[in-house]
Amino acid sequence: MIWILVFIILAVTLAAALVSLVAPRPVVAELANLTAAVTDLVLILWLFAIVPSRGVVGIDSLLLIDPFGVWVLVCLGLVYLLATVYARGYLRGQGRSPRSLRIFYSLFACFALVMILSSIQNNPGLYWVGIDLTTLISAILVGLEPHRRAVEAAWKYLVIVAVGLSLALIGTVLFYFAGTFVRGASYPMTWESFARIAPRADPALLLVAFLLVLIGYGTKAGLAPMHTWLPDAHSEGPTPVSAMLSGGLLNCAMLGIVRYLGILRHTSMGGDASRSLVVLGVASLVVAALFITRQRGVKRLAAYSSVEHIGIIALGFGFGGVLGTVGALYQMVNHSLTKSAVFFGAGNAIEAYGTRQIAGIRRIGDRFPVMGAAWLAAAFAAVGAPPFGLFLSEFTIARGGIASANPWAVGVMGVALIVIFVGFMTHFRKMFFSSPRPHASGADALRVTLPITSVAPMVVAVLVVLVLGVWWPHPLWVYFTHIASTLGGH
Amino acid sequence: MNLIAHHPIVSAVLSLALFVVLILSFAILGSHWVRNHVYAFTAQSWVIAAVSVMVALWGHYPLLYGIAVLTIVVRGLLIPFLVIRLLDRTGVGREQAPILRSSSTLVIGGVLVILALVIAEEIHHQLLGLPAIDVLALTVLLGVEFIAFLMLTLRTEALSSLLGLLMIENGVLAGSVILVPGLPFFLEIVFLFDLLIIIATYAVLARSIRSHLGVTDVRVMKELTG
Repeated sequence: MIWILVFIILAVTLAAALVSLVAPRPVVAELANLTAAVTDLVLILWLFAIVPSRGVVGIDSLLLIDPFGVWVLVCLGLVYLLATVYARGYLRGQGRSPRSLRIFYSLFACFALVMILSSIQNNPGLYWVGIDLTTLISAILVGLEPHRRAVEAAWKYLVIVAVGLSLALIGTVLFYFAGTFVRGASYPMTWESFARIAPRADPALLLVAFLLVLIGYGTKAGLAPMHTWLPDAHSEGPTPVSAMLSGGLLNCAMLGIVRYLGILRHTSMGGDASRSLVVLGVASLVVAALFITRQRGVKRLAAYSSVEHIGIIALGFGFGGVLGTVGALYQMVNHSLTKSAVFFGAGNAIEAYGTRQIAGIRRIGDRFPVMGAAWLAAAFAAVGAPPFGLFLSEFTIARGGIASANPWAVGVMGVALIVIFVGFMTHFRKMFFSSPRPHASGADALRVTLPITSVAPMVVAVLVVLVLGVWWPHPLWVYFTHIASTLGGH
Repeated sequence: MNLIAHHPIVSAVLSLALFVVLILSFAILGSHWVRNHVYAFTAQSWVIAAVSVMVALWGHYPLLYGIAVLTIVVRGLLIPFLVIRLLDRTGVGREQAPILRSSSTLVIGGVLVILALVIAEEIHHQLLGLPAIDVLALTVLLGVEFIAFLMLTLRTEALSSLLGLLMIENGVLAGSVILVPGLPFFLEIVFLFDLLIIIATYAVLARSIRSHLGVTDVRVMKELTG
């Protein structure tokens, strides 16, 4: 049954990409993506319900369906559906040509397809290829936004991430090389075989390989100091793509890092590997805190919040143990939902006020009461305020950190989160409650009335994060503890 | 790789070939003519194909013959053809205003290769019994990578950046053919496919850059900060 579901998910998404490309009218492409997104989410949730805790390998050992991969798929499925619904009103509002819309929707489905495939790869080399393909497809999607800043963002994204991924490729080759001293010159390249050779392979070589992989996939995940492409690409691309990049792709990249980390934890270098991830997590939080405070662009504000969230996820996995890992996994879904809502709100504000500057957006709550309320709630959720899900996940990660080998990081995390809370909410206070400055561009230039498809995904995302904040389902906790037990750590 | 290490003459020939790969990277680094970069990249790809054939022959890895053929077809013929076409369409001849002179760039490249050698030696000390050819392969892998990074940093022409990325992949392939000749064949095919996607993506973006910014010099892209 598992493989039938996987096959349908892949086939439906591929079909959406192809249908979108040849669709006679853009509405067909919209419907194809919507059908694929709904089908994907339903089937992914079905997979989530039946996936065995040890996972299953299939299709000639090429694919691995395990709880961790499926959890990343759940996050991705949610964002894909929300972003597809949002895209309808957003793209129509931009007045794009039918050809441009067809290309957009086709690439959008391709992007989702490649992320799905990457998340279920059993071969670390093919996982690298999948992540590389996501870069190439999403760079074009970012560059599709019709202004020169988007082209600049796409170019920087492509070059920086391609360089990072080249290091991940070398790391992957070195991992395999380390195994040749244990299993001979040729052996299957799978996560399981890497895990088996790790305890007997040279630990120093494995650590070097891991650090290369960490820098490589860390670049893709937007961990500081390799995050420099992220604020550009996330802020300049079309808003549905921003949501997918933040809520879907960052988790996919983190999946690779954590799979390698789990392997290293079976060696004497597990502590060093965990510490490396913690250091990058802390660096991300500090960078996010500094740039959020002095930010002037509304979508860049959301983008730096992504750096913060991925930093916290890195901390959770770096701390390890049950609490750290469980918290990080919960943070993933809360981040995906919250950040989608924050980006959608930013996209709506930009469309409505005709400016990307925070200073040009004023009294948005008065002008768009429902959207404004949802956006403000999403902002509170994003900074980890109760009663939203991120509060629970961040609190759990902090508890895990105190019990870990790196408790110092919890102190830095606490300070950074306070700075981020103050900085982030100050910007929102101005956008919601400050009066427009005389001659400020955009503040009085309301351009549009927002369609329901631009508001409903925000409301749904915020409501789900609210539910996840007041009720952490016990089966979900059990599910996470299964994953934590496979990843190890203290 | 031990089979190769026990053939002194084969080892020597492979070492020579790896040196050629490294020197061709310097040729790319030293020239400001983008067309020269393509020619050097092509030659590098053919040398790597020859290395694959030698390892296949003396190391008894028959699948590497396939890698050699694919390397020639994709990296040695198809990619240069596509990049030359891009060059002709965009009318790019050379780097108009290089950040550093060729001589300075080459010196920095030399320092980076020494750094690569130091890292490879360190790994050699860690893994007792690593043959000299493996140390050289590691040095070339890292050295070409570093030189490509340098090129990406110092070159401002979009197509030079593309060639820098292609060079990275050549370095990884040259090193991995020696270090891990048993790396699954299927994976190598996918890597080659990936290269073609990179070219296609670059072509699309380079066209966007040209239509939005009027040039293909990436230094004009300075709007996004903070």
